[in-house]
Amino acid sequence: MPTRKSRQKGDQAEKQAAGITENLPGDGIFVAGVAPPSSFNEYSKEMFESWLRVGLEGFLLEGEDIWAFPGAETILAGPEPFIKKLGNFYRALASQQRARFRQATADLLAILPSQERFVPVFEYLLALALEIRAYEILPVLPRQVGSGFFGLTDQRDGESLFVQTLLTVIQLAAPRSDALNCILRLMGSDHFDHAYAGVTLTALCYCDGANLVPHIERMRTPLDAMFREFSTGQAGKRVLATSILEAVGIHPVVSALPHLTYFNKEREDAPLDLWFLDALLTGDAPLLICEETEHRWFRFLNSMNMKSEELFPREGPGMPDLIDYIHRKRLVRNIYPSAAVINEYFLHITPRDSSSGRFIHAWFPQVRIGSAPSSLGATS
Amino acid sequence: MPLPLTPAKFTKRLTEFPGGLIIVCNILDGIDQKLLDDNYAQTLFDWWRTLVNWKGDRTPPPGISDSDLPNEIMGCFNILLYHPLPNAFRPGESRPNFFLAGIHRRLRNINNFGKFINVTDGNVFLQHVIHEDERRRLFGSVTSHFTKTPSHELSLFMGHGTISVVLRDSSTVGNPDRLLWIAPDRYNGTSLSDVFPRPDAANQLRDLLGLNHYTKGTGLVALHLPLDAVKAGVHARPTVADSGGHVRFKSRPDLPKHFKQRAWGFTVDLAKLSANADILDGWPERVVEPIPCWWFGNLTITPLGFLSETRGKIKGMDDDATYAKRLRVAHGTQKDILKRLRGYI
Repeated sequence: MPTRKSRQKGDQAEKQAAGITENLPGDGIFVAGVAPPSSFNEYSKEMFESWLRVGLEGFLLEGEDIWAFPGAETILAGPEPFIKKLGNFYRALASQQRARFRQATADLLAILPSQERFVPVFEYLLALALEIRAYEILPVLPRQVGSGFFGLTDQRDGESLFVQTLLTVIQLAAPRSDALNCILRLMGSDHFDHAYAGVTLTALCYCDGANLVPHIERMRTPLDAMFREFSTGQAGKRVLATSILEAVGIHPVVSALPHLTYFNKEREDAPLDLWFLDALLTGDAPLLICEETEHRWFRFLNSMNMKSEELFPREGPGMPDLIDYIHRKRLVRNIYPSAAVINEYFLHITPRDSSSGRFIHAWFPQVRIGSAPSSLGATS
Repeated sequence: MPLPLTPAKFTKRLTEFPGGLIIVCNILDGIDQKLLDDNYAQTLFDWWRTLVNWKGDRTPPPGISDSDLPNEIMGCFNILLYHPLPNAFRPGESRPNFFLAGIHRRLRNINNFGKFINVTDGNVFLQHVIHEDERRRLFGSVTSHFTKTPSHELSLFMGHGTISVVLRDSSTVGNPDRLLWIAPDRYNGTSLSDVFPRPDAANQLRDLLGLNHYTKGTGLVALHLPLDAVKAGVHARPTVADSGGHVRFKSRPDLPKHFKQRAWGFTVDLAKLSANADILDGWPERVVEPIPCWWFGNLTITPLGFLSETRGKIKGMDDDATYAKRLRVAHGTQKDILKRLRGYI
């Protein structure tokens, strides 16, 4: 019987016969993880910044191709998009070097002159920052972007640099104060376009899910302008409402509902938040009202993950309008689902009181109206 | 210091790591298949080796280490094929044309194939090839503003069925610096289009066409290229240079009946490689020069969905070393390969 040692020896002999040494760095030239030359191990942040600037200017403005990046030519030679390859270079660095490279990207973005000639360099730097998730750019961006140069220039895809910056920041959105500050400052720019109000609101929610009401209030006017200018459709609004629900979770959404504005006595055409209710609760809704006890409270259910949340009345100025809306639109129906449906959808919900005679209200119109099956003692 | 590489050292080093061995075997297979001639191989090896040495001379201290060398060798193969070379490298000489060397393998019955398929990265297609107005139309005028971020847009895009789209006039189908890989829709009584409606279409086509560089999470799209678009350009049976050193390329078909189909290259079926099947032949393929978008007017495309797994990463099963081993079988031991290479380097 071969021993472990002899088996290993056999494997090794076989590999040697095949002339193959496994796991060498040349394995898979198209795949990320190819190591850059060891000379980059000693690079400081300033050296990376200079290397990146000289490289991008040479590559983009002076036609030097990959030779503008001495030492990294082989990594940058593959068929992938250039930014992806630069990302591969970054990912192959040691962790300390990666931090220096990210900071160098941010610093370069901060000091690059605001001149037409450098638009492609800005464009590549923003794309690189997104590729390598360089959150270090967040504090420097608002200062650089401001209300001037960035909004006046077009990059290759016909968008302004400002829009590219906004979309980069939105995609970097994370629960961090610098991300939130960056988005808020970009929103304050003259170049902020209400066409991007939807994605901006979603990004705000990702950065700071606990303050949904202020975010919706802040975006109320740009969103209204967006809805007016473009033929939205309920499906589009539902995409947005679902994104918000995914970003913050059911509790902040349900808690925010009584604090939103559904009616304005003084101005009929004033922007409202009714779109949010409509998109959340009607039609093929992401949020369902599955239970109500004689107007005392509602139970909301996130149809995507079956998590539920209760909402009590008189919690905010919008609550009367909200209750009125729910009843007027018949969003809670006094319909009992079949046992099978209940088993499928309601097992996640533990009824609060099994003997209170509380109703379960469902959203399945095909289910016959009547008493709940006795087998569901807890809900009958 | 491993550099400079003498011809003997270069030959030996090439056979010592999987990427190098895959290229070497494919060059030798190309010669055996009469796709490439001896002179072509000699020239390619000569330019490749001198570029590695030249680059090594210019690398700042501490220079290229022995462990960096495989990367350098593979990178230089790519640079040699796809990037401008500095004036200081081999001054006075112009780089030979290494592409489309299989052009002499004409496809005489091209009219029988109806249309061709190219499978590409959906994100790149969406960002750089599809017309901006078409993008807005595709996602609805407002939905695109809600979901303007590329990842959201790509998700929506992948939900579409087969559609006809307008392309950017200034763009090309196929990377403008490289070649476009095309596969006939119909072959041997079966059709690639039959795979499109399947839920696992992206994985299946990636495997069948040997596209192991597309990894998990990549959204793929199939482009339906009309016959006339292919006929208008120069097309050829692919060689190792056309592949740019792709690590799942093969010049030699496994099935005898495929040997007879001299106009076609055959892809490596990644699923078969994973299963350690005897025959790795996937689907026939050719290469064509990238086609300007203005040629098409509208182009029919099928978003295939996202890849749910990465291929080529399992050691001993489908990684580069395993594949290199499979290719090497036809050429004997490392010693045999070195002996043959001496005639070219």
